[in-house]
Amino acid sequence: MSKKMIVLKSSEGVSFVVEEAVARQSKIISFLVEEFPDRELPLTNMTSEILRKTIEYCKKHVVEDDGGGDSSSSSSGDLKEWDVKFVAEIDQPRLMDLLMAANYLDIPSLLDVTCQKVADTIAACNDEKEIRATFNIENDFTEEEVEAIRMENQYPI
Amino acid sequence: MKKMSDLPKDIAEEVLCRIPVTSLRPVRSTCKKWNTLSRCGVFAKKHLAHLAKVAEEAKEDRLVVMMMDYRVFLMRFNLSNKSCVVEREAKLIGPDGSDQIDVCEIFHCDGLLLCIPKDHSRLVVWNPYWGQTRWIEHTHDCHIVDSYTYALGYDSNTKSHKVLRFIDFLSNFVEFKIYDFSSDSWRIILDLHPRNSWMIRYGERGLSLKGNTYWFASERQSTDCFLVCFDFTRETLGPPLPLPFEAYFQDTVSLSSVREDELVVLFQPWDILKLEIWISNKIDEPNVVSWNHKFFLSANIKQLIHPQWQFPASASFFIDEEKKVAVVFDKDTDISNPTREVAYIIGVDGSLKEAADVRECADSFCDAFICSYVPSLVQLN
Repeated sequence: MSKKMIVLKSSEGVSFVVEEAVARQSKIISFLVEEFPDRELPLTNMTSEILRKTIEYCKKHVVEDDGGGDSSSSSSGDLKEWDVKFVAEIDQPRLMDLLMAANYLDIPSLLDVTCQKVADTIAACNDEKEIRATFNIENDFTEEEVEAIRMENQYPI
Repeated sequence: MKKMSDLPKDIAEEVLCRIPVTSLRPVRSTCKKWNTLSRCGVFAKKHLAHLAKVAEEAKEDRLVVMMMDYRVFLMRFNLSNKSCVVEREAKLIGPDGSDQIDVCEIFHCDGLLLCIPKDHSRLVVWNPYWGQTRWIEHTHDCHIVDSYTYALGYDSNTKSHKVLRFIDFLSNFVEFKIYDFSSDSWRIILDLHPRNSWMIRYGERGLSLKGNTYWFASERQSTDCFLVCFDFTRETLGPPLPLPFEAYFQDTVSLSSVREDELVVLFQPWDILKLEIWISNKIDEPNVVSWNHKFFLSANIKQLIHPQWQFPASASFFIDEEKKVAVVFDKDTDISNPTREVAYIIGVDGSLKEAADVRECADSFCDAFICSYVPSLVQLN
């Protein structure tokens, strides 16, 4: 039986032909496929690069999901390892785009791994200055305000 | 390309609820947006729920708060490795940011820590999650300020927190006083006079569970020993509660808890080199305690120690049911000059797994205290 394919179009107008089962991991696409069968789906706020990454993630996860019947714990462990590697290879700005894509397309597991990766990066920073530098965040505090937070009796690191 | 600061609020929330509690301070200091977000009650609830879920799934080692050498640390004991690893997560600093407060005792209840400064001048209650502290001034009726016993609990109806401060081991002076967070004042609890026929000896440490505090107590006139509970809702000391063994007042009997559900008691008879740990059934009411029929562990501790050796009264310990071990703290065995804090890891099969060095101790008279710690969102102000 041939698998049903659908077409996703990136912001640059590049078309990606994807198995429907792969794309349906996105709740939004799942919905759109029902509503507009046999139509090309334009994803105007996603670049080809990010869309490719997203599809790569979905492909991996769909294979694992129906590959082993009741998938054993080792395969879910392998999948976790794959996820970790997957987000580790993406640089900071692209990770943000991927996170937004996961949110936009409503892919909960991808949103989880990308958020976790960003959180881990924050936790690995030594102080707020390093966080700001890593994520290109502007310091909008006055000296006094920063000092006030520093004086709070929190868990220091 | 998206920047971190462009993230919509709900996505920023998704990211920040995944950071460990020890990263809260740098996150709050990063920018106004994150500072506001991380102080919002809805976010905090989500954050703690997420951390609890992850800890449960990953079977993470427990967070404990430890006082050593008059400093307070947040620590994690990694018990899954062959050798026990102690990871220091954080240290308490003073409310003035000076790191100069010497703390000689700590008590945990409901995510709050009651710290007794070494000079006993004031008390401080601390919620490290919010970074809030509340200083409590003493109203002194007597000069024996360093002989008080303390406990932290709360009224189960109003959820208002209270501190109990008392002396009852002296022959000529008995006093029970309560500090109520809602009224910000001390008052004497008269109902506890005249004194009971039993007493809580000086040096016994209470254990707070579900807002009430339990102690090891003994009869004044006989050798009978048992537990007693101070009910912070009714503000009374309850009747004697049974122990799962027969104890003598010179024995080491100390308390810990599992989750916020069960009491755990460590027992070392003063004249035998044996150590037992028992777990209670689920505690629902302050005045009812029953015990599992079988001990959690029983160990011959001859191999550990000096022939004269006994764990101090109220020795600090905790158990991990999953990993089937108890961790008991003490100074090292050089009794004349102990130089290190040591954690003994004892298996349920009675084996001594490891005596892990925790830290050099500068002051050999300062015994380490351990409390299990669960972050909470209780507001202090």
